[in-house]
Amino acid sequence: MRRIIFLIIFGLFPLVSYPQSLEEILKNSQDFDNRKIVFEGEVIGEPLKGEEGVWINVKQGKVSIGVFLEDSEAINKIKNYGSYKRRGDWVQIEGIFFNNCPIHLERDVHAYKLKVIKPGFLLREEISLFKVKLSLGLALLCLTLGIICFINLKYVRRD
Amino acid sequence: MIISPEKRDFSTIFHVIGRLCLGLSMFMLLPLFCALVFGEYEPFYDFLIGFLSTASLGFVLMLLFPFKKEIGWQHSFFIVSLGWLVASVMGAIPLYLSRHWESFLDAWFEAMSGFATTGLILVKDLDHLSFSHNLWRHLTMFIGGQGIILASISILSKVRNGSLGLYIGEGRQEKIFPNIIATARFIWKVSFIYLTVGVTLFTFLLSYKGLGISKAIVHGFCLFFASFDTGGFAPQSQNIAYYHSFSLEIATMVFMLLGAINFNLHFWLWYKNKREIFRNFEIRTFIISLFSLTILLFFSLKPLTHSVIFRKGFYQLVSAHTGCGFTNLAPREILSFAPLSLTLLILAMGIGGGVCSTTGGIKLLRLGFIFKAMAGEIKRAIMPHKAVYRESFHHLKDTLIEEKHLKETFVIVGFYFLVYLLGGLMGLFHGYPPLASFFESVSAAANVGLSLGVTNPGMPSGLKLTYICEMWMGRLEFLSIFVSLSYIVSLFKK
Repeated sequence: MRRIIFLIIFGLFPLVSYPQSLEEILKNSQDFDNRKIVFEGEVIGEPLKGEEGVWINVKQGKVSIGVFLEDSEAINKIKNYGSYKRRGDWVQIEGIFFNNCPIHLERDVHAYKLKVIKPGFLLREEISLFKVKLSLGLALLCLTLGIICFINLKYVRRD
Repeated sequence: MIISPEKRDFSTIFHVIGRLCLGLSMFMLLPLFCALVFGEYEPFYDFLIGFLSTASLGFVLMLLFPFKKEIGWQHSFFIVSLGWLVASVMGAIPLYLSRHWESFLDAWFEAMSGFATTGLILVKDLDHLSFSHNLWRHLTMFIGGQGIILASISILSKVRNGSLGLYIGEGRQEKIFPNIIATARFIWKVSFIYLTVGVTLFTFLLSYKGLGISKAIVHGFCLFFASFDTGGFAPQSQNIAYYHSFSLEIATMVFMLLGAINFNLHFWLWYKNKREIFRNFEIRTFIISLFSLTILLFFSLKPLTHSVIFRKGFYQLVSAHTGCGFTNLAPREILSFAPLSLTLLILAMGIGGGVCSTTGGIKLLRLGFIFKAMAGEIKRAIMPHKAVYRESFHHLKDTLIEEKHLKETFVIVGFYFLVYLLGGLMGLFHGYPPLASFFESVSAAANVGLSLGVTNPGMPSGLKLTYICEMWMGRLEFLSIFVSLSYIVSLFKK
């Protein structure tokens, strides 16, 4: 029985694509150049038009990379792009990593598979009560000082 | 004998700083309005607090310190040095409140980097930063690029008498008009004309790439401020690489070059003689310097194809030479360059652009002087003993190189080298590799903003303070700061 479980787990291992760390890929970019990679990350910004395809930018932790999709329809799966008001969809990208892409002359990933792992969501703004109170206090202070300053300047001028 | 300031002098200085704070608070109304338009309510309060606290400080200083004396040279140096510090601290308030900076020191670093048009960043999660905060980051570059004090003297009536000192104190050597107010207004006029052209062009390119029109306009403003004022901030963490657009990179290069040109030359090209561009000493020095560095960079990046070298190498070189700091590469990609390529970038950053421009560094005119002086000495040595030989240069008019030009050049260049060296040594002291330490130090002191990854929120506070000082000193070209410091020392000797 144990042998069967072992065979099932490790026999299927090469067929399943496990996501890699984007930071590791970029750190060892020469080793991954022209090779298939699988990674996950948040889609940020918006889709950008490219020649014969579309660009998206995917961020994982502190690092980001441009992903080129020849199939422009693939981006229809993405509903949320990361911005101030939104957490972007968490996607899994499978594609070829190029350290110096011969077509786009930059470091990029040419994706052939895009899967949304976790949908993004609207970020709620929480306005701190402290900021509101501080604004009110400062507004009163500023107004008072402004009036005193105005009177003072007028008085000095009359002198 | 050193003239030591009196109590009345400080009263005038702090009064003008108060007015400067009022001016700065007015600029904060722009991102405040942006926050309202885009429905960013938390940032709205950040800017409201920033606006109110800066204006309040301005009123307090004006009330406590009446204007007692006309502004003289000694006041000018104090106002400039202190004004830049106060502006960066006040400008950091809305940034810090956004919680995208780990500490107030980080926010201050970013604000100083913006005002000094450097472009080194410590922001966390830039891709989720609000439009209004992004606009403020870039607006600081526009304000700083024009000169914080210059921006104020063109609107503040009381400061006009001492305006020449304030103008020189901000690291500008040349007047365009005999009157400083007219010079300041011309600089604003040029900037606003380019602003209109630049924002239109960038907005068009960005909306063509697929950005919504409102976002394209905000990014258009940001990219213009960062390129023309040779700042180097960008609204997204990947900097220019985010857009994946070769045409946008070319457009930013054009505005970087325009920003690196002496404002005096802009005036000549617009109103006087267009041929000046072919004869100008600074432009010739720039062409020779950029050409030589490009050739060397080409060989240092040789294994790469020509087109990749252009996109990856030449763009960084232009960005470094113009003091902009825009990059289409990640720090680790720049770090993967050969040591020779990095050394060439350090050289380009150290040189900078034209005098009376928004760039930092030792400047092209001074580099030209040094080479002229060297060539002159060699020529003199091979000439007959009794021959009289003097070097000249053409910068708007034919001028003989005199002793005072060379003396001033060598003093300023000496200061720059000293600051580059001390900043590099501080990096080494904190355990960073030598090349990265000197790269980052030159980038900070020459107000460039390219980074090999040393500058990040996790770097030691001592190094953050070092780079803040380097950015501040480099932008003001040392004179104001050192004169102010010697006045302070003279107070203790009294």
